Amino acid sequence: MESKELIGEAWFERVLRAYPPQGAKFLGTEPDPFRNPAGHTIRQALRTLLDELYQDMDRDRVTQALDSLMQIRAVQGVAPSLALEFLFQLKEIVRAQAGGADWDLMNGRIDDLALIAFDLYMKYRERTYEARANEARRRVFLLGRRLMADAPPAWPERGGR
Amino acid sequence: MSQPKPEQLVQIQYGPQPRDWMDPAVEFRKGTFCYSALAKNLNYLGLPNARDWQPFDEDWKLPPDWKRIILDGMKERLEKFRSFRLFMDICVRCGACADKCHFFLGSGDPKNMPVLRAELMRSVYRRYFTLAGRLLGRLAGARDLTEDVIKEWFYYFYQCTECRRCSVFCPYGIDTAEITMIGRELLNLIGCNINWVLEPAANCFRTGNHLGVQPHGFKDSVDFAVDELEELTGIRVDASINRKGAEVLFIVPSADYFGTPHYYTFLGYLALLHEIGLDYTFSAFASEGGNFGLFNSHEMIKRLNAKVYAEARRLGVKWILGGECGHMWRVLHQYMDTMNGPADFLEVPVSPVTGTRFEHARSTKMVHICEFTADLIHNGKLRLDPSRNDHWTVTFHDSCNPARAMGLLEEPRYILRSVCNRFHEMPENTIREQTFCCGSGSGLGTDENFEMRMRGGLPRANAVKYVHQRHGVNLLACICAIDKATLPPLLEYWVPGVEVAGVHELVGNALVMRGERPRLTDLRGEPATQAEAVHA
Repeated sequence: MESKELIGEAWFERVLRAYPPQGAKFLGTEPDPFRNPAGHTIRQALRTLLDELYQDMDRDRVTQALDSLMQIRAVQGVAPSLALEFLFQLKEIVRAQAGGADWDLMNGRIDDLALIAFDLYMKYRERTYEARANEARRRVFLLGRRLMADAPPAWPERGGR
Repeated sequence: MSQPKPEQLVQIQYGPQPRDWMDPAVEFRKGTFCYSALAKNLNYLGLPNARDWQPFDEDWKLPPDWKRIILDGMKERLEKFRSFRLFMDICVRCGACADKCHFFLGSGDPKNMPVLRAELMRSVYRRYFTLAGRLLGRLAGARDLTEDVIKEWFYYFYQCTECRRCSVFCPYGIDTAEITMIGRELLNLIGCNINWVLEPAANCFRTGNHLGVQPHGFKDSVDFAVDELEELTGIRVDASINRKGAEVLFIVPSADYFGTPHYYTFLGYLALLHEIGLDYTFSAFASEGGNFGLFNSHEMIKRLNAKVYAEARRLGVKWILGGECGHMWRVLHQYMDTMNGPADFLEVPVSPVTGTRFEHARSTKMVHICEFTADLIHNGKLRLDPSRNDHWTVTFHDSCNPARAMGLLEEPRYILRSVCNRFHEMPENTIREQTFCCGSGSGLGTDENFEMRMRGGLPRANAVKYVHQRHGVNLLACICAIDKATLPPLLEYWVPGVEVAGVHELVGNALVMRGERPRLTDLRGEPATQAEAVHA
């Protein structure tokens, strides 16, 4: 097996260690993306990130992959440091397994990923606040609408999305 | 203290500490649980141990003899409900249900596996009600009932939405939702309940609906909708309230006349029932189909449901029509008849438009509006212009209770295919009886529980995302009031760009009404995407 694949497997396994063992087993093995959305998303995203680390670091692709990971981790009840821990875990794995690789380059690239991931984590935390506020407005939608009978007809301006 | 060396610093133990599942310690982290019920609501309903407390408090102020109360409560229910005793005894822990819970899939927390969630109670059952458990203790999977166990029950039994997806897969037919229901009943005996369940229940008991809207407020809401529908269509409909002698009593969830996007479904109902000339009335007292007693106790279900038949009798109607709601229909379909029936003063429902006799409702005398509308369409009684919904590419979310508790799978799809041109199903293992819950049912759809709801809703949202990306789906249709309240924020978080609507909102859009003026907008007031065809 190529070292990149070894690194990928080791990384995936390490990421799953953040979950309790009985749960991690399922997340790591069930291949159906609809039966196992979290595990599937994590596996796909890590694969993309690793590919890009070894290739051109296409910013759109890495952002998309990190986005899907951060979307999940931002609501899984972990501190931001734990949500981003998986990137720093990769350093340890790469250093141990990819002896021939240009370590400085990889190290820098992983730091870049971490910065993008910080932004995305915050994006999703902020999205929870927005969604909560909008939900509250929707609940009393008709009350507001009756109080503001002359308000503009476009419903998004009156509290909807 | 000396500085740690670098090699010591990197000795990090990744992952959570391995713990025995019998260890009941849980952390009440904000965003992942519901706040406690206010004392005034417990008092209103006559429930025990009303007090000020919160789940994150160290001291839950349980009554001094709480342990005896719980064990006596278990004993009583083991004798009263044969199903409960069976469910405690027959599970072989095969694991078929383990990966079926949306909260497990979204969180990875093993205590959200239905089998393990049930084990939280079974372990106590074994300890106090089986010989092996009494003698062998932990060896036999038994554990003592402690305050920490109560906290754990509260945490996990208010993390189950009673959606019953796991029960579809159980080879023994164990209904884990019923275990949750008993768990919540027991917690109620010592005053451990949540406000999002008890406040609607108290309101319902007082005014007939969850929001506490009084009869004049209900009339205001209905009148407002009638005015708005006239603005949109040019037709003034007659929506009578408390009219004795009407043929049909129409009961909807209260969110339909107060929240959005429910409200547009309500406009759809009004348009439809006017167009076919149904002789119906609302009741300002049975102004709520939803029944949060289902999330509290069997006794509370009965208390809150009693108004349905009482109002049908008072108003002298022949049969009852029910709007789009989820758990409302579980109660109406599975509990009402035996709890508050027989409704022998009513007639077997017959559609006055098509003559169809709804034999399946022969006993309850209550018909779901999707059944009623599908029958109208099937008999060619409606003029429909599906192109009016061409701005929507639609998929259908089977709401848990209509799908799994009453088997209402085809009717809403038949309606949608008749009123929309673009309809796409989500993947097979996420719909119909295998549908994924919105993650907010059974009283958990509260603001403070938001993060947990996003976790629980991941499997549903993930399937929506798939059809959104593959087919450009931008509307998720459903027939549940809780879905309509909680799927919009779920999709706002996971799949921006997909809206939520009731089936009858789309019916109302497509319905060509006699004498209407050309529709310039849909029921939401959004401009029509194309010039209105002539409907001579």
